[in-house]
Amino acid sequence: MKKTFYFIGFIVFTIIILSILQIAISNSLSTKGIVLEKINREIDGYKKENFFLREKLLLATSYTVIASEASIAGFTKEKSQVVLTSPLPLAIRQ
Amino acid sequence: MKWRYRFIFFVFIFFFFLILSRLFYWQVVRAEDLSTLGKSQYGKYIKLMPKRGEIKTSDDFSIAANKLTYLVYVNPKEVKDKQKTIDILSSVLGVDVASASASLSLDRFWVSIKSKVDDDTINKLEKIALPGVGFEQEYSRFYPEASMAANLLGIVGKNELGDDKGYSGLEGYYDRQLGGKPGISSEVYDAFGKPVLSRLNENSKPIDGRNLVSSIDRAIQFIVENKLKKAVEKYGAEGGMVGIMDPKTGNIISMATWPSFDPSSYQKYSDDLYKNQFISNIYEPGSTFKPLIMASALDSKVVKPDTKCPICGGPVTIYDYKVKTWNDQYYKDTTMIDVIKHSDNTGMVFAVQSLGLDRLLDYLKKFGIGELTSIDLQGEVAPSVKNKKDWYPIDLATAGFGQGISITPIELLVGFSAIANKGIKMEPHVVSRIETSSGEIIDVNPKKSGRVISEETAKVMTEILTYAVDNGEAKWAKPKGYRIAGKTGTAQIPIAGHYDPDKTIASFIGFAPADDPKFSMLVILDRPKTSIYGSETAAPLFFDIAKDILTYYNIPPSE
Repeated sequence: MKKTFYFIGFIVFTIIILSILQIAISNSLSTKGIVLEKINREIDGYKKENFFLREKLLLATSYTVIASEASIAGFTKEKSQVVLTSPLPLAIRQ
Repeated sequence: MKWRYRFIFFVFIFFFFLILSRLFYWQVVRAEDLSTLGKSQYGKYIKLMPKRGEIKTSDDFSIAANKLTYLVYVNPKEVKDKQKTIDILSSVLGVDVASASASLSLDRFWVSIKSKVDDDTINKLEKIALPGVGFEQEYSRFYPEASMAANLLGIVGKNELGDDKGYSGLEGYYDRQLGGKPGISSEVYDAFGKPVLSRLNENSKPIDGRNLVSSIDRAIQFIVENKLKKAVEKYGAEGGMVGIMDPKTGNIISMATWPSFDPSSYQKYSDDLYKNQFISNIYEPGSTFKPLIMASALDSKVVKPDTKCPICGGPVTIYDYKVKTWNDQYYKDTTMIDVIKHSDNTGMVFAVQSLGLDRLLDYLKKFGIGELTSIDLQGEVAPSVKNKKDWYPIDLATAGFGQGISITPIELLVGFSAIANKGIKMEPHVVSRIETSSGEIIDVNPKKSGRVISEETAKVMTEILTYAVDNGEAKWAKPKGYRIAGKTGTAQIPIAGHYDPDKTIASFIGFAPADDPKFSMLVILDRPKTSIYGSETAAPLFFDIAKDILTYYNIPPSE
């Protein structure tokens, strides 16, 4: 009889504790939505910034843009290949 | 009395069946219409467009990327000052006042004003904070390399539903892979027809498109496009094209046509420019076709490299026609090696007549002439080869030197590349790898189309072509120290039943280094004015590009 009483008491006590815990956690979580929303907005902001930075990066590393800016900066000399097939004199006496 | 009961009974039965048939009509026949009507009253489904896949070059650089833009929309029912809204929208967005006014007059909750608006403009609008005006994020195509490889890429337009769709080139061929899968979002309305909430199911999220990684080498493409443009201007040509392929794998390293267009504003250009001429332009190849014919003749052992041509002492007469050489010079008892070196039409007539029509048709099929190459680009065409019964002796003769037969440049490049690849033809492809949105990589492996000629014939043909480059008409343009195999071409253009006497298609086809080819290339200049000959226009361009590619690949001279 006593054991049954303690067992039931233990269960009731557990239920009460868990209920209080649930209320506490739900209460705590209820305002987290605002924080979550703020974090999501920050993430979206970073994603957007990443997109724009990537666009700038692609433009900056584009051969077309580099060649155009090189041309403006004066890098226009064309290279030519020279193949040495025989020894060349260093100087020729006139 | 009994008949009264029966009468009433049948009246009831009649009305019963009347109601039953009406119920059947509304619940079965018109079921779908009523369901759609109910859904539209309850709410609607909104398609969430995915991000289109990007197209990259072999160095993982996105030449067709996505940029974040915005769609500006208006809720006319929430606009307070209509005139003020119209004025601001037309001044900030640049839209027509009449068009903005018409949009704001519509009895709707959502009206699109302008798409592809950039971030700076949106920031301006945001600061003004007009009631009823909102914007949605969307993605637009963005080309960091401007018009580089425009014909290869294709364009992104709209389909009949207003969704993005690729046309021509890679955008067209891989449209489904690039397009991804749209998601669905359901919007519920209240009794007044206003949207009350929006929910997104996990199963209906959009799936972004797959990225394509091509085998196009960005540096080589840049070099080729610049040199092609300068050559077209220098030689006064109507246009030009260059295609470069790895003969061992079929990878397309570069493909350029001039004139070209800007894919980000393709609407401003003529439709003709969207076509990739390298896969869709039909022309008679002229002397660049001779290596295929000579290789066929050597492979079937009807001639040998040192076989003497018994008919090459003068023009060859075939019924009412006379076949002459390009410079009216004739070499009695010339060998097959010198036939290619001198680009001797009479020698080629001898070779093709020795080959015979049956074997010629067989080899043309093996080389892929008259068939699609199956390159992964939308817009490829392949003019068919005439039926055997339609061939006359003059047709056989002219086919020997590449006239009277029509092909596309890609067909010629792929067939010719078999000589560079020990006689094995490879299927050409632009895309070498596909990246899914979940990070999975799908490799596109090289595909053999089949053996065309024996390895021994390929070796012999390579030596003949190398000899032709070293000793032929274009030898002055060849870079010193390298063994390059190639052939010039000066093809006449057929016009209304005869050939134009003044205009030609000048071309050069070749591969290098001859002993271990890293690339094969076809250069075509359309109607050059400074000179009609391939040796004086297309050949110098070929060698100019080849020199840069050999340097880029760090290939040292071998001679």
